[in-house]
Amino acid sequence: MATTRREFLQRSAAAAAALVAPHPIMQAMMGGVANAMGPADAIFVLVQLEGGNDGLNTVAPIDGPQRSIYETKRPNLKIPAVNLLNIGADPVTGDDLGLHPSMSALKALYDLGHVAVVNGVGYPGQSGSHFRSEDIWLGGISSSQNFSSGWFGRYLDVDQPGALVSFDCDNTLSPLFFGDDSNVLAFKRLSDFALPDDPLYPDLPAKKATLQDAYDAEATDTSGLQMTVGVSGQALLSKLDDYQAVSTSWSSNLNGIAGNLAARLKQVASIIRHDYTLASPNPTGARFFHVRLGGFDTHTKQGALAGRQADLLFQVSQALSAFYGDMVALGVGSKVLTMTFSEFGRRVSENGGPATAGTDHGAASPLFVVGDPVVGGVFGRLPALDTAQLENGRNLQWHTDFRSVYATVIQRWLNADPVPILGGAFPMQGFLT
Amino acid sequence: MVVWNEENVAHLLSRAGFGGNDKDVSKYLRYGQSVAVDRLVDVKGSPSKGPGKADFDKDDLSSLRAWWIKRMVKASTRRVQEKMCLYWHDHFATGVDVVKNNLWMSKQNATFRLYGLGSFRTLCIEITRDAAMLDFLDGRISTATKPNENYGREFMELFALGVSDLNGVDNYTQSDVEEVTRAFTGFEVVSDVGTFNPARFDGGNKTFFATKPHQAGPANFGVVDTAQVPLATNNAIDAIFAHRDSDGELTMPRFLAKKFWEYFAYPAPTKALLDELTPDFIAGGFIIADLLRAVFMHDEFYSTAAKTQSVKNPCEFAVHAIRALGASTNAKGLPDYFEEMGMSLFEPPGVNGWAQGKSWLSSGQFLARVEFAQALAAGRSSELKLTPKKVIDSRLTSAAAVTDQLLGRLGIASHVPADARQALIDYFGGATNFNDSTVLEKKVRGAIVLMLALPEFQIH
Repeated sequence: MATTRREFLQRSAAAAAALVAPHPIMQAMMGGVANAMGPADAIFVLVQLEGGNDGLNTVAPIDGPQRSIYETKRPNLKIPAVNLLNIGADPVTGDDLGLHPSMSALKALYDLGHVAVVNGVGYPGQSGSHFRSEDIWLGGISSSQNFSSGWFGRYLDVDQPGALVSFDCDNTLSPLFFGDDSNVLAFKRLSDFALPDDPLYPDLPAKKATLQDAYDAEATDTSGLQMTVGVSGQALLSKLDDYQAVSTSWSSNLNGIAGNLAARLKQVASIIRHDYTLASPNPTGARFFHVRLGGFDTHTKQGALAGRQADLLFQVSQALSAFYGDMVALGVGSKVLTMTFSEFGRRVSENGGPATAGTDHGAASPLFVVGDPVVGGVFGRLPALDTAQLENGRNLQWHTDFRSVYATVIQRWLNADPVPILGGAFPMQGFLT
Repeated sequence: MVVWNEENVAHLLSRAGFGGNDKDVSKYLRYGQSVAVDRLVDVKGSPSKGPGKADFDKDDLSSLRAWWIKRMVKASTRRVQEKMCLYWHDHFATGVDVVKNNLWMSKQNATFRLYGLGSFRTLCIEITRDAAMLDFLDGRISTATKPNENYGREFMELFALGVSDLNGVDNYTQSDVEEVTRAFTGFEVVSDVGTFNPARFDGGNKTFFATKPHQAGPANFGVVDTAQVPLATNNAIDAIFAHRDSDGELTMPRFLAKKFWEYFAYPAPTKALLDELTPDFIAGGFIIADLLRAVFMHDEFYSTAAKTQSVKNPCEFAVHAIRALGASTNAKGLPDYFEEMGMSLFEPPGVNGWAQGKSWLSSGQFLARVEFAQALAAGRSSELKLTPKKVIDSRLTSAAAVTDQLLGRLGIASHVPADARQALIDYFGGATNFNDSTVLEKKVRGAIVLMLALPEFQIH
């Protein structure tokens, strides 16, 4: 095991060095933060595709030697070359790559230069466990570290300690935001953000005032979990009125789009609209958002042109495109960066017959970065598909460490030093300059 | 031995069940610790099964949820059994959103009630051939020719061993996942029953944990028993239970002890503590009640840490509130409140169950608790009914006395800081007549909402 892993690391380091163009910021990074690039009020939206998205059918080979291996290993699940949406040549092999045919909306944005496709993202020591891999991605940690805080939580600890600038579009707060001094609101629906009352004996102002006093006491006079809950209670009450004023009734591009992702991004778009166009100065102050879409664990009946994955990718494509359209229409296109990720890709070979074929847990996978600030294009090659070059003979071998993607976002978009947040230096990726 | 006082009894009843009222506490106080714990954990399996038809009808599912919640609210001698049903539902998390069959979910719930305090080995076998689980983790489509790793992997990772041991050393390899997967092939669901079909089973030899020198080497697991469960499945489970970690200790008992401790006491227990919990469990052949008994008899279970470092899950929060305040409910509306608080029964977020700890108290779910507290406090119908005059002594003449009585009922009187208590007293606006209906209806009911929203009632 140890030998394999060392070889593996050396190979990966060499691959990374070969693929990442040297950039002046790389040197500057070692000594601190380089010139800031993101706006001071940069908005970042992280879209989590839960279950392990099959990256190989999201960005697939259209021609060349990779195509024939792909067709051999996926007799039932292969997407016909003629249906793939061509996004140009693989930067290493020169053969064409294409998006899944259900992603035409995202392809249109890609053609306008607003989408970066980052191939082969992963990390050494993939465990194949959803939960462990989610911990690793959300924690921004190596596969040998235990999860203790989220990478974004640590960014908030450093850059926005205690500030209520983040919104998780779910009733459960993602570990992404766990930090020593991060303070994040989490709501599935904005309409839930209200204190209830007794309809027969209304007494809301008195109740609210009492809770405020009680939470103040809890926050200052207790410790441990008691204090933590007290502090959250204080935070909640302080933003209640601001969020209640956010309207979701407006002509968003997301309005007609089906699915949970669109519904959640609509909440995000509504908050941004409220802060940037209707009121001043930014009453909610939310700039960092996390939304999830589940269902990508396609062990069975994954489908090719149509089916489970096609439906999900259609949702993702439609929702990301409409959200982008909203941001541009609201005049904040230059302030908003959206990124997707999934805890892992899937096995190169499919696992069943025509009726049931799916894919088991894999390793490296592509991710998308979307927005006006993005340098569009394909970054990094589609990992080699021949068995000899697969991780453990079955999974796509990563070449771009996911923390390198985070480091790029932290440094070039959030204007912070990624080294203390990620516990080390990672090379910048070219999707931001 | 700890001092067997009201505080410790209340703590035990809060963790081992869904909280007790004053009568409960004095009863288990009288028993003494050892008898109290024995009476709680030594309960025979119950065949009770909730409603549920073999479809995915929403109302039908809601009835099943309400049936279970009502059992939790009313649980007395079987309180640990219901708590363990909830624990196992989280441990062997299976989602009706995937299974889409209320009958199968109801049957799985009954399996937890029947086997949840008995042999862990039996429970694992029953779950391996459970219709809902066979569907949820693809066991029913995993065959000799098309093995599917989903169940084999999760069985080792989440149900029995963990990815790595207490020293961070991997417990198994991808090859072990594949071998265990082969041993679990052959099941299908026939007439709503998980059934073994030898024609679908991989009868070849399997090698588990071959890379670990301290493990049993290759063995013949290919013998097919004619009974419902093939010998290979039993053998796979036994091989997993015989797995030893990098300290040379049995992995499964430590794994389960850690899960129990984190569920019933506090996060991140030490290895030394875990090793104090497992001897009887191991000696008795993995009887679940023995492991629970060790947890509830351990002095550390009554430490301040064990009383303050866990967040009640929404079930514990809501059912405790109903029980402590002597409220009644037909439970029909409760599934919706539970869903908003983040705990849709029969629909955990994934095979890893519900995230524990602080994540229960994210802003959305916290406000949903306040929402439930308001509904309970304002309960004036059979859906939820709370009678203020039964909760406080209406002869009391000061808001301070009423506040203390209410906090006492909720079991948090000694933990609430003075200024928070004062804020609650002030909320009564100087009321002195607690027979007055407006005071009772507006302020007493209102104060209950506020108290249920205090940090102290969210944790245990």
